[in-house]
Amino acid sequence: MKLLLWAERWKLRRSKILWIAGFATVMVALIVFAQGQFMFYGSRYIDKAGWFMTATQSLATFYVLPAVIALLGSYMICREEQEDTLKSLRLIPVDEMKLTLAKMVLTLVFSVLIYLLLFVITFLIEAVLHLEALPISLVLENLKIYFMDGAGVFFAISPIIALVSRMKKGYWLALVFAEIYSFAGLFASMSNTLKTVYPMTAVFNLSGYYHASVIQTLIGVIVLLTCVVLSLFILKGLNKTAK
Amino acid sequence: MSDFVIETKKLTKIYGEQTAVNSVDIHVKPGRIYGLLGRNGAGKTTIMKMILGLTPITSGEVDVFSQNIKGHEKRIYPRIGSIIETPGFYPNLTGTENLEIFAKLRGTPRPNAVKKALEVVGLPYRDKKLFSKYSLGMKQRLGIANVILHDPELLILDEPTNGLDPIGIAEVRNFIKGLSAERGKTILISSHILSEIALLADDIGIIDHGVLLEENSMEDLEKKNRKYIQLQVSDVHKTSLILEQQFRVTDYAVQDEHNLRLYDTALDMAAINKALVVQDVAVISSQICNDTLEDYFKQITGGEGIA
Repeated sequence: MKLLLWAERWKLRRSKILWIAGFATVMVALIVFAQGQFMFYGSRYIDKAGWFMTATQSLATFYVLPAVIALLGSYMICREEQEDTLKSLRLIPVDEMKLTLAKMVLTLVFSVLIYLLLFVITFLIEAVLHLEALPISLVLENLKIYFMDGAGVFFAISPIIALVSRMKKGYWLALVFAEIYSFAGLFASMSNTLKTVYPMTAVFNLSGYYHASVIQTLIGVIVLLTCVVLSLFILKGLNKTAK
Repeated sequence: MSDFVIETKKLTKIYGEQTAVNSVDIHVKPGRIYGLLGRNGAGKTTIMKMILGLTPITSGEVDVFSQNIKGHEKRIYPRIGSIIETPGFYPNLTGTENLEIFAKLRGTPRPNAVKKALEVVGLPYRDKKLFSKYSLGMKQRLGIANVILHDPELLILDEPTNGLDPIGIAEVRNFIKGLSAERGKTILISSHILSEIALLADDIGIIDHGVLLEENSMEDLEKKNRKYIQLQVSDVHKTSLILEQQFRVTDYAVQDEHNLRLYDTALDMAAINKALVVQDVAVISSQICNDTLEDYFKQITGGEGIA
């Protein structure tokens, strides 16, 4: 598994998708920063300590990052077939289930890293603007939330990655599906029940971005675990059809 | 224990209603180069894929190293190096980086294996050129480098000279020959180019429309296609007696009631003609013929598609 993870990381060298992901993350921060320039009761949103770190998460999660992460995950799986490297790997032989799992693990790591990158950007901007007004507890709380968001978003979108990989119609479909899926979270967040069971908003319940009860948090765990089981089920089917 | 490195029994592949490979029996002997010759779409790649377990077999059996590949992949695959269709690599990586991935995943123990493999195929080590920028010939060379990276006993090469220039083809040919002659590798190679197979193979299988038409050693085929004198006479039995008793000729073949072939082209045909006429055998024609392998292949395959 360690070797497969090394290989997967190596295969992403010079990959344009990584640049796209980095660019998208920076853009999210810039857009929210621009939103923060609006005045509210005589002061700019951005001037309130912690606002930038908090506001960036919802925009990133409902509009941008799930699609980018799904794109990367399905690209890593689909490329083996598209670039005709799968047959060479089979002849080594590489266990296809382990290979797919390595790709999923790397996508999870990537998802967490991209959220942490967003955290670093937002924290640095907040620090430049008002370092003295930023309590360390707020920074650490946000660090935890961003970390949990990164992991949770991956679990929530994992069925999309698996499904697109199985459909074999091109990994760009993952971007479209994940965009619709994450955007729907915006509407789910308006209802307390839907907010609890819809995977994208369940991530926020779990991470602490929303104030959630213990029950809501537990349901969130169950929902995300269901997503993982569902994606494993789909991926198992993918490996069977490949054989 | 089988005498063959690869042995197929009644190997068949059916796609829907189309039979791509029909009851093929191939026998690849150790240390020899087996050339699978056939026009495009004849079923060569499908056979190779079935041998390697890359595509399911409809019916029949495949034994590689006297074992069925299915269930023994971990033991058999490390002993095989193969190129099927075009070699697949990661376009965003250099040739060296690509080979390093495959070497590590295979657990290739030899130090400098990547460097040595690249040297053998004439590609630079640690070059910055990405695989996506490679020419077809370079891609093919990198595919061959990947095949030999782990020093396998058996090489399965599907049209390995595709896309190479004439010098490159000659280099690869010599390299493949060397692998077999000097290092005892067993090689199964496919091609639709007759001259390539003729120059490389020790044994040959001719496939057409999924059917193996002939399997023979190159030596036997060359014997079949050597120079001869075609003699057309009124009485072939009487002619045989005269040839054997008067001229001590034994290297000949009777084809039908009026035709026979004399394989010793140094015979004194004037004297033979005279002796036949004297003994009331009419000589209708006598001429020196030289059927090439190409003529032979055209004859058995119908003639199209083999370059």
